[in-house]
Amino acid sequence: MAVKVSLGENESYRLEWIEPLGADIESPTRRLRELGGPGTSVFQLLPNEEVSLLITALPAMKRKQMVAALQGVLHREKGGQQEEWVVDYLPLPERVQAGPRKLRSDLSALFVRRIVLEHQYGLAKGLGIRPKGLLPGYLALDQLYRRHHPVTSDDEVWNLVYLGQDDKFLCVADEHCLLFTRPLPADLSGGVAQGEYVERLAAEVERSNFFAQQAERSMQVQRIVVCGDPDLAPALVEKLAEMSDFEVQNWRAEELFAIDDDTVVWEHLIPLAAAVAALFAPVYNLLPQEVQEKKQRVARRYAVAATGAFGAAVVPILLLGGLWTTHIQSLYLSEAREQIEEGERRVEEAATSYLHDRVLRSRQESVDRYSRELPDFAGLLRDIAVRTPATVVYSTLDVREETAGVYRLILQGESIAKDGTRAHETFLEFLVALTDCRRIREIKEPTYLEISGAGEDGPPHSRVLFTLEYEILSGGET
Amino acid sequence: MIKQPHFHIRLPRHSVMVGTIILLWFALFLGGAMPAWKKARRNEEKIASTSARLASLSQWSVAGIWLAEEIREWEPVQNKTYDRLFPEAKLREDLFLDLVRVANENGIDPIRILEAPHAFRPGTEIWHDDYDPDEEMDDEALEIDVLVSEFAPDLSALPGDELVAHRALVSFTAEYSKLASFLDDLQTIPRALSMHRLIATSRDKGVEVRMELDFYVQKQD
Repeated sequence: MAVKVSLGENESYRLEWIEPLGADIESPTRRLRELGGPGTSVFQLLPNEEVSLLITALPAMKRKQMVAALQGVLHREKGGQQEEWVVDYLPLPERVQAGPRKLRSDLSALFVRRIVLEHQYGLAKGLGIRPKGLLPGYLALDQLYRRHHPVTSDDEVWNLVYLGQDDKFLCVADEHCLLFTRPLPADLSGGVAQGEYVERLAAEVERSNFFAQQAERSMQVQRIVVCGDPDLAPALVEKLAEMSDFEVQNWRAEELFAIDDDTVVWEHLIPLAAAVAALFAPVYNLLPQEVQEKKQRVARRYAVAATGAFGAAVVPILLLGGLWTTHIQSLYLSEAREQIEEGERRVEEAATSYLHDRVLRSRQESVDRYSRELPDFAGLLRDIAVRTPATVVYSTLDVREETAGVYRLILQGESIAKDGTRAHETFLEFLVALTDCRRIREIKEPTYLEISGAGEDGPPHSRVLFTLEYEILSGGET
Repeated sequence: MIKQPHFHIRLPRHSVMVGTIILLWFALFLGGAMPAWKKARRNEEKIASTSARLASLSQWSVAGIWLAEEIREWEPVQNKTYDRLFPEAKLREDLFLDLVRVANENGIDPIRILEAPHAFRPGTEIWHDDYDPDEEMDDEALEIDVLVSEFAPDLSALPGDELVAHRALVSFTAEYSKLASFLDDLQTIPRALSMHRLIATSRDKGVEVRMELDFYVQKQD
């Protein structure tokens, strides 16, 4: 039988098709050819009775030597030549051990006779299919169970009981590996004495639990999981629950598969489990050595061919790419050169315009500066005249440009009266009047001040000689 | 006769062929592909500098278009005012005539006017004949200088913007009120005039006035 599954939603799978394989099949069907196509991952089931498990401990060594050592162990225990055995193994986590065994590694080994493996592989090859892996049914079921029941506590051991239509077996496993498997007896009564048969099955399960305790790793089963036949499994679950204190579950593995027709899924659970295993990386690899080597040779050849192709392709790619790139760059540079010439011509004009603009701005500054109205000198002279008392006389009125547009007024004169007090009072009135003038601002106190007495020739009088300095304010300034 | 042993190494034919092809390929790589890519790398640098140059030129070009338009509208308007305020020639006789006219209109007569012997740079008290405006250059002027040196535009068509100041010495005697009126009417003279100094000294018949008036002329090359 050949089945094809694909990944579905929510950790489920979709059963694409089931193809029965008769012993007399002559040529592969369309579906089988599909399995032989590229990119398809195919696992082939091996008969349970032909593949065995071995839990052992060996000194740590390299993989190839370990395989040879395991072949030696099998040769010693099972007979035949060492090379007759195809072995693969899974290293187990180290346990705390006392004495000389502490340097040994625990292994879970899977082995099969080479002749059986090659025969089975030959069957698939005859149909144009090259399996990626070969595994027994119990291992496929164990992998499926692990995938959907992640172990939550250390040292958990379970007993997975499968009740198929033809095959019935149990697998005792822990979180690391499958520990051992046992076939279960068939119902010889043809379903007539189911109660009796269930009791027999329960006794076998009990026995296997006990055996697990006595085996190499001394495991205590904590859970029994029953799957398969929907009529028989609940009865066995009930019986086991009565007989022991274990946690007993009925696992309906068939519910993991979505189907479009009325296929009875539980009857094909083992092939389906193998098909699911093919979707993921194999745990053990029991491919014949020469197949593995051939695959490696093919991989090496592909690598060499790929390297050669890369080397052969990269030189012309680099050469043509380089030439093409320089060609494109040259075109761009040539075009850019013309643009630069044109741009330089325009910039020459721009430079002239820029200079021209600067000249105009400079000229405008001159226009603005010299077209300003002069301070109102006439108004200032009139204002001063109005504020000047009759007894105050100027000797000099000096208006001078300090800096551009800033003028200073310097007044020199005298205030004359009959006596000094009167002359000075008049001078002070004059000072106050000038201070009130909004056209000028006093810069400092009088730079020169002299009060002198009467002269000898004329009538008696006094005078105050002064020099005053003011800044002339422009129009609106006060 | 002793037969001399000789060694002959025979390589498989396909190994020789593969080796030859690899050597040829390697030679092609070293002689063709590598130089082509090196040239491409060099061109990349050229392209980067060319692009930067183009961007800079483009910026200047756009600025130039905008400035040319502004100049075309602004210059004729400015020229009228500029030429009135700052004639190209000194035109001293016209200015003196204007000053005399203003004095006479205000009842001032006689009036004495003469020109100070030295021209000077406006805004300075340094009296000299040949000052050089390029002595003081700011950053913007330097930028222009770089631009001019790179693209060497024709500057002969550009108008000048430099002025030369001249000083007129005016003296007269008048009544105080007439002096004020005279100062009022100076504003009617169309040229740019600035008063540098005014000294009014009291005399028996009014005030004696001495004035220094600055006037400006466009500097000729």
